[in-house]
Amino acid sequence: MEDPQRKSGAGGAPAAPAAPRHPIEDVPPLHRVFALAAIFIVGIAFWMVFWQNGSTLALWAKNNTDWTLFTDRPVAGMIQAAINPAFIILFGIPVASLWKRLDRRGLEPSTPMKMCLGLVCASAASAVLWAAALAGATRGASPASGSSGRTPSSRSATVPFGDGPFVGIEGGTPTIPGAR
Amino acid sequence: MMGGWFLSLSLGGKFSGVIGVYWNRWSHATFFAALTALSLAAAGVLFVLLRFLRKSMPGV
Repeated sequence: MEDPQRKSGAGGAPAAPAAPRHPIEDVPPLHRVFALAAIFIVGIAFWMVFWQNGSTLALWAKNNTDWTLFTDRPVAGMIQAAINPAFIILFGIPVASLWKRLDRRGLEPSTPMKMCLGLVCASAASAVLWAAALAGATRGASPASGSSGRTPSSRSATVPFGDGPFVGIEGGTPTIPGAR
Repeated sequence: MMGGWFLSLSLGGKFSGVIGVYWNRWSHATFFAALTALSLAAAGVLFVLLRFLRKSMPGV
């Protein structure tokens, strides 16, 4: 017998007297704990990459990108903080409807597979930055030591505090390369 | 379960700072290559465990 409530979880009290067992009840508890631990450990690796946007990617954007793209003023810094939430709003509904459409054809990937795809996407994004850093290095824009990292671009002079001391991360305290 | 989830968030934030230290020690290309390798390795671990995870989490 096919119960539409079957997927809603084992916690809810079903109205039917002979409730069908949720398949999770057939999984040994130790397996459930191992599955959670595996997801959490993989999650740690994901957050390690993702939260670079708060530190090193901001430094990369400050020192190694052109802030005046499409404009004559350095406005990129103003819109930079809006990119992450804007992407969530713009792509949340299309991606959710994509899963729905795939589900209708029975092709929706499982949740671990979606996490795996997300990690591959994060990896691809890092690879784009890797290629960008390599391309900059061949032009001499990115110093091999990476200690300074400021691009000597003619237009970077228009960036406020662009000529100020480089503030990097070194054990959590700001450092000035000239002093090292 | 949510405690474990927040624990993974906090450890991820801590270790993102730990590898962020290498921004100034390595070249930027090496740093981004390390990030790529890290996320790809995590994806590989998840892919290897996929069969086990699907069996342990029926219905998702």
